[in-house]
Amino acid sequence: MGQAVWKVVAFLVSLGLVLVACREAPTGAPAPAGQQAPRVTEVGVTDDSILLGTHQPMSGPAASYSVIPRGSEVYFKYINDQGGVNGRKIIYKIEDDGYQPPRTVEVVKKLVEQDKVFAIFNGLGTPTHSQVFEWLNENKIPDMYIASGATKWTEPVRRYVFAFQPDYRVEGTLLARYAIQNLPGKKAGIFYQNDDFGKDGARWFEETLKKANYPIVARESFEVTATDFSSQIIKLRDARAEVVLLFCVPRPCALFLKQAEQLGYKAAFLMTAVSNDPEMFNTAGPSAMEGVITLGWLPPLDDTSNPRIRQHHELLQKYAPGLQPQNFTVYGQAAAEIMVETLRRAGRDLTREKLIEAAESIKDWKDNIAGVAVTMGPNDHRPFKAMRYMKFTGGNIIFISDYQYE
Amino acid sequence: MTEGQLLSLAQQVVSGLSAGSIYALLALALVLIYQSTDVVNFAQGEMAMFTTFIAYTLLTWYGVPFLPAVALTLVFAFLLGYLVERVVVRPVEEAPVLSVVIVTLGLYSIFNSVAGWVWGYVPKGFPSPISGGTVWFLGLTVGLLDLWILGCGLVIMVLLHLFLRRTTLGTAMRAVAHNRTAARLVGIPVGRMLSLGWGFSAMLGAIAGMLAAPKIFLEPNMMAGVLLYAFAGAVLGGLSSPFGAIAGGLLVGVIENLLGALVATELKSGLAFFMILAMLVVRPQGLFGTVHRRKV
Amino acid sequence: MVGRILLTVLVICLLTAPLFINQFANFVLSRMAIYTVVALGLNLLTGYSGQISLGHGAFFAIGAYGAAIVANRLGLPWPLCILTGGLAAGLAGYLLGWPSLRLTGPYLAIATLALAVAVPQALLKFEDLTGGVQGLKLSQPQPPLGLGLAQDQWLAYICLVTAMIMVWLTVNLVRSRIGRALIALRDSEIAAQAVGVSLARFKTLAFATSAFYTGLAGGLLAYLLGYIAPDAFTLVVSIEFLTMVVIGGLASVAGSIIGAAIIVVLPLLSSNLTDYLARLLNLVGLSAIGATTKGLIWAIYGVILILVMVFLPGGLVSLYHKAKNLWARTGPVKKAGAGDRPGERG
Repeated sequence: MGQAVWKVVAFLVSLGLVLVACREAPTGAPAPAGQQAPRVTEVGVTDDSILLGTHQPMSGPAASYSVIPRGSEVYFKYINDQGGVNGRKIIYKIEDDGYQPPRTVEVVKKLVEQDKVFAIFNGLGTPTHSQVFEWLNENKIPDMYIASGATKWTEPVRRYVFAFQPDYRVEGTLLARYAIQNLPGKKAGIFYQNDDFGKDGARWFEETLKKANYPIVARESFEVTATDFSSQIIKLRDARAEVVLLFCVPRPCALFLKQAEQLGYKAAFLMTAVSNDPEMFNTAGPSAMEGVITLGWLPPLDDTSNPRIRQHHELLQKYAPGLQPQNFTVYGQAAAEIMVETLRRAGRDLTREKLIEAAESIKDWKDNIAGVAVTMGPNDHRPFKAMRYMKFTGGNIIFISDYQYE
Repeated sequence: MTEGQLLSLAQQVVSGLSAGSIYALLALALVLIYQSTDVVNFAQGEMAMFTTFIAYTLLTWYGVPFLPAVALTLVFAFLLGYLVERVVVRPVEEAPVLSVVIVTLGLYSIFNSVAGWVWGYVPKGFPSPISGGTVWFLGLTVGLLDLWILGCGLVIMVLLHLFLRRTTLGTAMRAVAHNRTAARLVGIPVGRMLSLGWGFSAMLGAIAGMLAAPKIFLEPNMMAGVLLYAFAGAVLGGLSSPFGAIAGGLLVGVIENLLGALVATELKSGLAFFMILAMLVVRPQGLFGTVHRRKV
Repeated sequence: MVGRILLTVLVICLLTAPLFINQFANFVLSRMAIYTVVALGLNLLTGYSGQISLGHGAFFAIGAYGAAIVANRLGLPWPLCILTGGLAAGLAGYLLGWPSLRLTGPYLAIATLALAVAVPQALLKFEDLTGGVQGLKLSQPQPPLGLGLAQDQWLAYICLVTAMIMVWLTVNLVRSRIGRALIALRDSEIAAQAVGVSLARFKTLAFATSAFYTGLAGGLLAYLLGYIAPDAFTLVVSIEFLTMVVIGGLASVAGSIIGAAIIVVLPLLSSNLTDYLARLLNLVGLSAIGATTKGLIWAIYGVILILVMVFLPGGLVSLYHKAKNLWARTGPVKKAGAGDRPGERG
């Protein structure tokens, strides 16, 4: 450990600083004098392009979501091939945060300050995005259509922050209403994932039931990596819960239903839309899934009578061969669609402020893959608020109601 | 305590045994590699997951029938373990324990990441000769799949015990793990024994993975919740005894469930830590292990 | 002499850098400084005294939460809060040090691994204190008036100066009687005890000191982020820590700094790395799988980890020693001295 080692350190750090400094250099050279002044002066917007950035778990424990941005990317490519939005092509820069909150801060700062994106679009995850949404709002950078159903994004409404999917408040409330309307006079139990997502859903379910004096007899939680839920199931069974909310991601939901069947526990199961996936029939088994009630807001993948779903399959085939169509790719496309619509409405003279105004001006817009009317306003930054009840039955997941609003 | 409460407590124990059987199987693989190479393999769970995906691919993509697919997977697992030892473990064989631990952590990352890349993260079902169905016994319900897993675990345990204690190869492997220099002096081919140890334990891991997958579903992170409990089971029972691994794994499952039933279900996972720590402090060789004195 | 001048230049460079770089670069710099403190601490334990820890993410969490809780409940000034975080983690390390006296090698790795898993769950459980899944917010230190510094610059200074102090402390510590005792224990417990080094005292001391460093870094992180939640302290973090110490160089202060810089910068370059991989796969006609290479970053880490262990057990810092030896050509190249294959087996 001689002094000499410091030379290496000094060299490396200086090199690092030089590199940082180099990347600092403005990328776009100033327009030569005498030429026409550029028409747009907004960050991330050039004459023929718009730069959007996102943070996504492309690696690590939550990498199953990594197909969402690829679904969006496919749709952007399709739009670009059609000539783009108001003559500009969309460039979508995906940064990997590995679902680690400190890295989210880092990559979002990089996108904003280094890459100079026009907006952050569809940043994924509650724990990760929690780190950045207030900072984005304070710096007046549009934080568009967050890929998380947490209620905190819009509680209160922040000018530059927009939610996307129906939030867990909608889900919790609608599932509770199903119990009140269709399963009266029974006792309810709650089985939730011990994290932001699970607690959010359980909270709204519970509040709605309480208002209706619907009894809740048991609350059980679990850690997301757990593989055995028998003790929770037996507790729910012993408490005689006849209606059970399942607020968990697909694997624990499937494990719970399979183990409940094995333990002979029968109840009406109300499951979050997050686990609304046909793969559940293969994991939990068709008999365990029979009769499970869930929610949905995007059309099912195998519904080929739906032209938008057929288009989705074709687009994936064309722009991302090898990418298996799944619920997450549909989700990615839905997010990209509303982003494109917002950009289109913001017009050719695109600025961040105009983008926000355009989003807030969307009224009764139905031309999306979900086929539901989207309305927003200065006090409403939640584009999708309606869901339909669905039921697992006979190897299919079928709609059993029309769109329900919270 | 009423009869109903007693019954549900008994059910918690039975269900604990079913969860514990998964921990026990992986713990067996950990014991085998520790017994044959003196290494604790942090990548054991990921290798099991990876080889199970190979079986899945053979079954669903290539339509190979069940038994040949299992046989091919075991061959693949053996080769994988053998090669891993030869290529990446051998160079750090004489290095401190730390180096070996770090190499197995590197393997953990590689297998996990590559599996996610190739097969995706959607949980998949896995076929099993015995699948659904339950039997009722004294008012308790027992899954047939659980009985099958537990039965296989017990058979493997007996075979492993006989192999390690009664066969020349097994004794030679233990000798290598115990004292490499002495083993070399009596003419045991140390290098080959180590490779075989990795090969066999990878095979055992593959069996554990294929037995567990119908129950806990196949996905790259399937072992995340299992590995730590398997360690707890192995440490509880003693890293040196196949019987201890099975008993330890089952015990972890039962204690976990009872604690969840009587205290709070949120405490289930923190428990593994306290069991490991308490056991290591009180009796480092485990309940059924033998003292393995190391040369300084 | 040249070394000293370079060192001074480096310190001046680092201390002026926050003024000229943007918020993103300041954040990266701050995180490097924080990771350096962790690396120094972990190296004291793993490198110098040969005890493996897969659980330093737990001490990191204890430090961060300790600082945040004290800041929110008692409203103490930030330096005291960070120090409290460090002390809380140090105490936890001391307590864990006792049972770990009986554990060697893989057993210690298992026990610390379990700790790394248990602590985030405890954070969820004790909601009243930790805020559960919602986490804790804390107000970031305001730059002193009159200096004209922005918030991010001030935070970068706090992290940098702390890291420099810790580097200085560590250099002195490892040269002191304590440092020599730790190294002696690592190399041979029996020999060290024979000459009067107390095993129990020094091993628990190493654990406590190492945890203190890590807790301090956790406190810094809490202030840097302004918001902490259990998800920031998963097992991945603990593994990252061990990775950086190994890659940089065990039992080496310079190695700690290099390792910390690399582990922070590597993920930022990862999209480039995986893009190259994708391009390579496209070339050989595997475009379908080439598009998803981003998820492979952990495989790349794994490969680097194994390559370093196999070919460069002294870490990147030993490259320097190797180069120097080659340069000097003093007979056959000997092993690189300090930094090569530390740890224990016995």
